[in-house]
Amino acid sequence: MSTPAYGLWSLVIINSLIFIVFAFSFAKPQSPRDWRSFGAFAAFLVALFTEMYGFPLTIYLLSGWLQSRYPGLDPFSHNAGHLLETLFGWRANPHFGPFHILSSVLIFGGFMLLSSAWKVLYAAQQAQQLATTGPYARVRHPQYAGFVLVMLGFLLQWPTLLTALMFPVLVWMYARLARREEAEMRAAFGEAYARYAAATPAFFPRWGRGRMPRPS
Amino acid sequence: MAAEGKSRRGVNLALAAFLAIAALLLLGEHRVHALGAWPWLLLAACLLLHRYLHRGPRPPEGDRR
Repeated sequence: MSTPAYGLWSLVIINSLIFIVFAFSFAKPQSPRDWRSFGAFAAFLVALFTEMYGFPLTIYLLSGWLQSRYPGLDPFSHNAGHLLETLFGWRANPHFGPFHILSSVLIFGGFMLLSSAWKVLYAAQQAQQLATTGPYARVRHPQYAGFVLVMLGFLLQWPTLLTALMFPVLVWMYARLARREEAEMRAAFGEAYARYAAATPAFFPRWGRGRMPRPS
Repeated sequence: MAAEGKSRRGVNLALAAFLAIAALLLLGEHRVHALGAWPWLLLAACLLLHRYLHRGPRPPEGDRR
């Protein structure tokens, strides 16, 4: 307990900015609508890192209960803040606990999906064509799926009341954004988009099936 | 198409560097705050990567085909 686990505001700022810049690099919001959803994603990250390193609101609210249930636990240590690991009794080092490992897989997978989709999308936008290759051959909205995976990962790693409330709102926002975008694509690409949409699921890839043939 | 190949390499490089920084922050996070000014350098690295990704390997705005 030599160093305090909270009140580390430089870490709040650095972590928030690094992950926001990371996501921004591969998402390039353009329309006001894009900016709104990106802003909500950024707010999710700021709320998360504020609780992780700055002021642990969730831990304060739960501290009475945590102390009665786990008498030996220091609820204000950083390790105890990995709440799922704490609740399920993974005491040794929560950074190698099952929830943290799963969360790392989701966060890294989400960012890799984001960047691989960005490559395809950028090339398609340059050529004014429909993006249908790479991750777009599997799902119609790989970028939004990527954002949701990243947020789900952070939620498993460091659950807080605020981010748990924000998560379903953001998922709903991306779903709505996807619908609107589809209407625009239908207007711009007509029949080609209809064929693509009929063969490709929106968010959940169909495993075991081959990639859709390229629309000609 | 040479520019496209270069751009792809740029994206992969940026992704790899970002993921390395993210891994450091998420897995080694306890020690990071003991490092003084170093974490700010990580942030600077991210901003440079972002600039490189969006200004460097791409054709300039006016040159879009």
